[in-house]
Amino acid sequence: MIRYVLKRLLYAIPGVLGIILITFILSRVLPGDPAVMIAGEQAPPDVIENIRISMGLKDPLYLQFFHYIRQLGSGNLGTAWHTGHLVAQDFATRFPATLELTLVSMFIAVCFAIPVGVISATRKNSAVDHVSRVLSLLGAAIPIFWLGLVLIYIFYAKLGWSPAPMGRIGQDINPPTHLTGLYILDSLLTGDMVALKESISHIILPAICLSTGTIAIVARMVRSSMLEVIGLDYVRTARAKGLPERIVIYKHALVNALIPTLTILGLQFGYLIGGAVITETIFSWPGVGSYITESILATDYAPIQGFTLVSAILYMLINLSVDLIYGLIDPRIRYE
Amino acid sequence: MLSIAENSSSIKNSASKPNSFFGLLFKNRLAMIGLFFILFWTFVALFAPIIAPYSPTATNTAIKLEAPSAAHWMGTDNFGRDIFSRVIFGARISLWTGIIGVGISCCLGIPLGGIAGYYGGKLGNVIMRVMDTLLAFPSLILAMAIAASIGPGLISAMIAVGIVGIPEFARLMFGQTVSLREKEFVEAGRAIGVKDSVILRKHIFPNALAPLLVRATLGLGFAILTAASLSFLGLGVKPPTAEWGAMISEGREYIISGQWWIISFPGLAIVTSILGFNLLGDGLRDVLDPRIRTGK
Repeated sequence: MIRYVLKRLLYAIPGVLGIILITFILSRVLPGDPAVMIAGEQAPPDVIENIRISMGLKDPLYLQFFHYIRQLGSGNLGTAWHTGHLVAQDFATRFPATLELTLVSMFIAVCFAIPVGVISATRKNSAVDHVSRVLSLLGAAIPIFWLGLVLIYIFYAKLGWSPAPMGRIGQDINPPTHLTGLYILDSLLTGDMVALKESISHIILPAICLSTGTIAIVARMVRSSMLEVIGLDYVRTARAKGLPERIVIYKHALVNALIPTLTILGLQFGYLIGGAVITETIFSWPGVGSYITESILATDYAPIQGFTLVSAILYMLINLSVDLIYGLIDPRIRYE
Repeated sequence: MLSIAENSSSIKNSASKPNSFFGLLFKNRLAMIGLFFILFWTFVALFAPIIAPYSPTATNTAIKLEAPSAAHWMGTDNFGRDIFSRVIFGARISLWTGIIGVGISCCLGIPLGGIAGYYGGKLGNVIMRVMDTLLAFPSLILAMAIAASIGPGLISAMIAVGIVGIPEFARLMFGQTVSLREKEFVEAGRAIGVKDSVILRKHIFPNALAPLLVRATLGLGFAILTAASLSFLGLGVKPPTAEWGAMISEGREYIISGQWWIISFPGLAIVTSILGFNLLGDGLRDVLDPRIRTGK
């Protein structure tokens, strides 16, 4: 297993280099001139020229790429001029909020999608199956930014069930003592029940909004892999030896049907990272996503490029972990 | 004798019609709903100037934020612009963005995948590794980065959506080409000295068309969604152009004060158009892929 892990990690290196290269190309080769973007279109030509020289944009491309890698190697993603901080520093401050939102969304998606997928498959063509299939189709077609606003309108503006879509905790409530930066976990660890209640009530709506697309895709995936597995010999054997249906479905069929679902869950992290940018913007969630939207509005490109790079590497690492878990639970894969 | 002829012709008809491509597609109810949505929005986009009662950019602050009424079926926005007319004209931008975006993906992705699959070797490997690396980026993030690098606007949104879609088409075409290049008709072409470019264009491409068509149809829905998301984030069309994502972005601050109509109608327009392409794409896949059909 260790050899398999090392081999996979080794294979990941060209991938990371490729990601760095593409991010570099995006910042240097595409028609937009970074110097003009920093100085503004109205800036005098000599100012733009000076910025070009100071940014090293006059150097040959391979040299610029080398400088870029060296800069990244020292953990420097550039400076965000709209906050005045280093991009990496801003990311570190805001990352826990995004992580918490993403994890809760994934949790909601898994808790909802798996039972729905199983019921759809075991009661194929029933009313439940039809409803879940229609919801799956809608879930994949509803833009996250629209859904978020509809949820705010219904649950905040009309029903008043949800707190104002303004951040992670009420303005008059103190955040829990900082341990991990994840408010729910920190409140639990410090026993701060007021902060716990507040942070849960604030995260529910954005997390539901972000999880909808994932629920749609995962439920469809669980349904189709369950349908495949249910017809296999070992499930028939389990039934034949008189096991209760619940055990046949959840212990024998579902565990095997979940293997392909795991891959989809890994791939869904990419969707969640993209979705977080939009969801955080709508719910004023102080994470990396809303920081990126602020950067877009301020035409501040260093954070956008830094985020593109970091999210792609993170996404790759998540999929790599999924592959490793896959290898762990299915020995056939690691011996291939 | 006559009855045998009648029988054979009726067998022939029943066999050819329902099992033909269109026969099977027309029998697929969900695909037909999808086709209906697509035709509806295409009609709306084509005849927008005739259907829309007002100019999509004409402002009138005297009637701003009015709820839906007989004069303004979908109400007015914060500048007093008629939302119905803006939704109608928005169909043009959204469909165009989808078509141009998928067009860019196809025009670059299909030849790249074809070349990589046909020639293989180092060239093929390099092309496919670049495609894999592009796929390593979360799609919306990559689209955002591209649109931000080029500079916000409709054209950059189209380019961004197009580039993001390239690897999907390249991988699909690569897979198809690898399996087709060893087929006898391709070998026969090579044996009689047909040029590689002709084999790729006239022999391999037509045989790979079915899965590409499915991918393109599903890709249109995805392209519309991505472009609308870019506009929502301020990276797509610039105001006052009527675009569904931008309209929702402009209306979002009014949602808390109860002006639901500003975001509701453009949102429904996005949902129905994406749903249309997704349903038709799924239907096409069912019809064109016999394995799925028999497996049902």
